[in-house]
Amino acid sequence: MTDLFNTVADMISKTSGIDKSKITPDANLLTDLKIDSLDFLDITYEIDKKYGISIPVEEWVEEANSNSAGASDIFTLHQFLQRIQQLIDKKQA
Amino acid sequence: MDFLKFRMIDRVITLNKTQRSILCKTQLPESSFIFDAHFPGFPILPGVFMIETIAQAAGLLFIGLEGFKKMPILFGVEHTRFRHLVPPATALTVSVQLVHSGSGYIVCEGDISNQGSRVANAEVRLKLIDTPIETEALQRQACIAVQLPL
Repeated sequence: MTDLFNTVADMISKTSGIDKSKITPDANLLTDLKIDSLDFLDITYEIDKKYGISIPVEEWVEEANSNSAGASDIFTLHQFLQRIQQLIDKKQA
Repeated sequence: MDFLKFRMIDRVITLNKTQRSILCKTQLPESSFIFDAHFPGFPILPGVFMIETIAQAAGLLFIGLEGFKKMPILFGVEHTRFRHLVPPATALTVSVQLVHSGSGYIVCEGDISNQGSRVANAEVRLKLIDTPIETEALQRQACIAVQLPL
């Protein structure tokens, strides 16, 4: 998970120009780091490409916009990475 | 190629759904206000039109594969090279391959060639938005005009 965090933090920093020190596990990608939608697509593509997955962003956005418990935290980096790790594990299984 | 209508592709030659690729042709006009200005006395096709040509071919590819439910909109261009000057009246071949289908976006690699020689290439990224209801019929007409298999 640490490797994944470092890799994705580098991608975020490079794509959005955000200082890496501000990219913490508790940071929300959208509300704290204020990553705009186009940068978010670029970051998603970098992750998709590196790990050979397809992050279902639209599905997660719908979930985040729903009222289900904890849904609003999906785009907190820690949770976002947990979900990506699950996709990677599923692909490797 | 019709600058006034902003139609960069004349005709779809092949749409390969298995390989997720498209091959198109386009013929540059002999004269145009674009060539009058770019450049006076030395007319060549501007690079931005080559990018638009690849983007339009990528859009046709997406519609050929997925239909009209989503509308592809260019949001990024990467790894672009303009390798040779393209004068008026040149016949160009445009080849585009879909390399990644993500959630809400696609990524395509495109080449433009002149008689087998690559004149430009670019990676284009297209965001997929819900097709505005009022544009679907117009998009369909435009696709029929370039003989995109639907």
